[in-house]
Amino acid sequence: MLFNSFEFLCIFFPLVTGLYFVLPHRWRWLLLLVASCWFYMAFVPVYILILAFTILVDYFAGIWIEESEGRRRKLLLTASILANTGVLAFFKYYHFLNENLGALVESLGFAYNVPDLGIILPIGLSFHTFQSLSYTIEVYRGHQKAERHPGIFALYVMFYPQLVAGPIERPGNLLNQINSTVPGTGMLSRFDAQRVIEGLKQMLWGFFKKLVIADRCAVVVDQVYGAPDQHGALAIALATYLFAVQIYCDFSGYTDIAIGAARVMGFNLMVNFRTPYRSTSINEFWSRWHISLSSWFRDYLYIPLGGNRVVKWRWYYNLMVVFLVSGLWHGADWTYVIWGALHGSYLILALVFAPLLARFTRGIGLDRTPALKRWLNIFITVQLVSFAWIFFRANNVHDSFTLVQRLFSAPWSLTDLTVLMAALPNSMMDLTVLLTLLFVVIDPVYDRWVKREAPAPAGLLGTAAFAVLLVGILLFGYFGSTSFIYFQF
Amino acid sequence: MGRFLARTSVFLLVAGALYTIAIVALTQIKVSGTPLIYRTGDYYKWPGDDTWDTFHEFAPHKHYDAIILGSSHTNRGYDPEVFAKRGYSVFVLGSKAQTPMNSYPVIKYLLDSSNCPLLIYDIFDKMLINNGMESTVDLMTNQPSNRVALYMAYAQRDLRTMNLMALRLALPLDSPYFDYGHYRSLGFSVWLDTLKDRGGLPDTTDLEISPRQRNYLQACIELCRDKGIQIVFSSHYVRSNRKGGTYARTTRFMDLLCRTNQVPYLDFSDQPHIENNLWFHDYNHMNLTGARIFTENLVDSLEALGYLRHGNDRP
Repeated sequence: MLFNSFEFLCIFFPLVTGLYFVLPHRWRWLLLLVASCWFYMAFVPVYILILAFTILVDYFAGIWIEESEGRRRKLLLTASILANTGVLAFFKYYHFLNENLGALVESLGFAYNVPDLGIILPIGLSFHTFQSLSYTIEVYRGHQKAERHPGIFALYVMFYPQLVAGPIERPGNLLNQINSTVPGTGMLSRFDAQRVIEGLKQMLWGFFKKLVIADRCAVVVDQVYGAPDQHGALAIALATYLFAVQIYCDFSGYTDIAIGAARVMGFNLMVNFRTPYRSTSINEFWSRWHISLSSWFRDYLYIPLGGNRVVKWRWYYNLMVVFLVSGLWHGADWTYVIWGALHGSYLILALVFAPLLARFTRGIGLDRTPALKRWLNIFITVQLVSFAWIFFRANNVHDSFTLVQRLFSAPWSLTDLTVLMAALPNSMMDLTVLLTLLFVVIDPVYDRWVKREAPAPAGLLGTAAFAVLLVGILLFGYFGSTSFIYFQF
Repeated sequence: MGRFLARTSVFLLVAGALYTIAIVALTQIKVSGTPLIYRTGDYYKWPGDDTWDTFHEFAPHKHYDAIILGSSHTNRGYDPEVFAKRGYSVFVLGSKAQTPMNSYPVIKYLLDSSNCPLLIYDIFDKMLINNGMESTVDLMTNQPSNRVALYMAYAQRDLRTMNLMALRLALPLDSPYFDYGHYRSLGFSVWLDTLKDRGGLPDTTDLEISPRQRNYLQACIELCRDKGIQIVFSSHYVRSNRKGGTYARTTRFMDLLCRTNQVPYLDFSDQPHIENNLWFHDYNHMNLTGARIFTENLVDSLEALGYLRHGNDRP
């Protein structure tokens, strides 16, 4: 079920939330579990069996790991990791592996007849697999007690607000809130008007980002990226910047709706985005973008590999491995691998050249104007991130290189936009650009308000500030129940 | 809970006020002579052309022997002049991509047994798989009844229709913005071109019939029954390469629907000579020649079955 669908907004959410507050606390887990199944089965019902498999494996793995010691404990964790990644590999990477293996074998002159199974990727598979994995790893590390109640554990994996696109929660946060014993918190929350309103405001901000900005940008982006050889450099640059905004608004919009919906019911999900395009370096970007995933990789891959407490070449190697895996996590395609490799390279190059850059900025006196230095760094970071997005968004590797080639091989000219303008619905372009620019200005302000990091204006002004978002959605929203980009991951 | 409801009410009031201000501003501020609102979404259409002319000519208080409803097949394929020559007054209220969901309020608010003893409803497979938005936009923009527009806005379950309704109220129009000049009268538009090729690529669609449209078609039958209107379904000529999987599904569905409800279905889609290029002006729509030939056939059948009768013969 899509958050931006009539079914969710008018039936599912009000019904589930209403029942949640009416039901006695002891039945709430069951309500949320049933609701989460309903939510998930709205996509491809049979794929709930995959979730059931993951839940069963990790439920028992958690208990057995807790009861075991030594080698057996490690073996159980390995079995859980293999089972989870096995499911992920089969459903997400079978086609990719089969296709590439076939190409390799055929290039060597042999016949290759392994069939493509035509598997449809279960929605949100990478998200709930990682969430479930984090539980067994935390139990293994002794940071988390194994959950004995299968229904509660199932709810931890399936909690509907973040089931299909995160944030990828950790048991220390979500499971403990589901099991809360403190009255008024987590599952024991009462109806609190202030908290409910805060949750609804965050949802509203999420819907604004998705419907007014992301889905509008998508119309322009799809046009250019759908036919890369028909558009000039300026059109490609514009579409790429718009995609940078689109993917941010799409994904962080989903996250805001998820966090808001959970907050209405008294759950605090982890922050997933912190205005990432205001980062002054790629390193900072990854501490502000998809935080739940980057921290997952940090805790369960980067640090176990040795992190930065190793010799330099090994440190760089660790970084590259993490980003290549992160690329593959996003999708089974070489474009994602290149995207990951680019980010890994950015980070390694920044480390290698850090002393040189420091000397250079000191030399030209940039250190004496910190504000200018900060904005310059932000500008450079946005360019690097946007460049990498070309590979993330392109339909295939060939297209991505066509886009890069066209972007840099010709001078930018306003006539580049002619084909694009002709292909778009009337006045789509100017309104999209205008709304996007407006969004760039208001995003940091609203972002802090909805995260309660800064107080929103009080009284009628505060009400109007959010009412404007609703009016904006009604008047400028791009409707049609379009899916969220990150669902495919 | 009281505090929550109070704050929600204030929020909705403020949002309502801001929305009203925004609509007034967008409809009153003009850029190059065009209200700004037309630049904010691709679903705002200029009022005018066939649908405008049709619904502004239609007089609900007048008696017609039959009314024709359905998609653009009707206003190009069912010629009221042929009916008139045979002594029947007929008006075509069909319009662009009109779906059963859009026809329902037209029957509900504009038709009854005194102005429409017989309703001829054209069935075209594409309108049963359609979500109705195209027709909702067309009718909300062009037909004059606010009641019909409001019903459609609600039935569509799409926020865009709220803006269309607001636009209707904020910018009431008394004349169309454009006219392509095809409209003749009585809801009929004349197209004289003929099809230049053999009919393009075959129709390969094989889509499920929309449950909403299915339900609305059933509701149209029941509404006609309640109002004492005789409903007859019909399909005009369909070129053989336009008969894809959706067409086959529609035919099966209509057979079942008509059998269950005991409603006649005059299906002309399989008539001989329908490949004749001189009868069509595009792959789906007939031109004046085709319309006249088809309408003659239709009137013959309706008379033979007793649904159209002259003067004292009327039941």
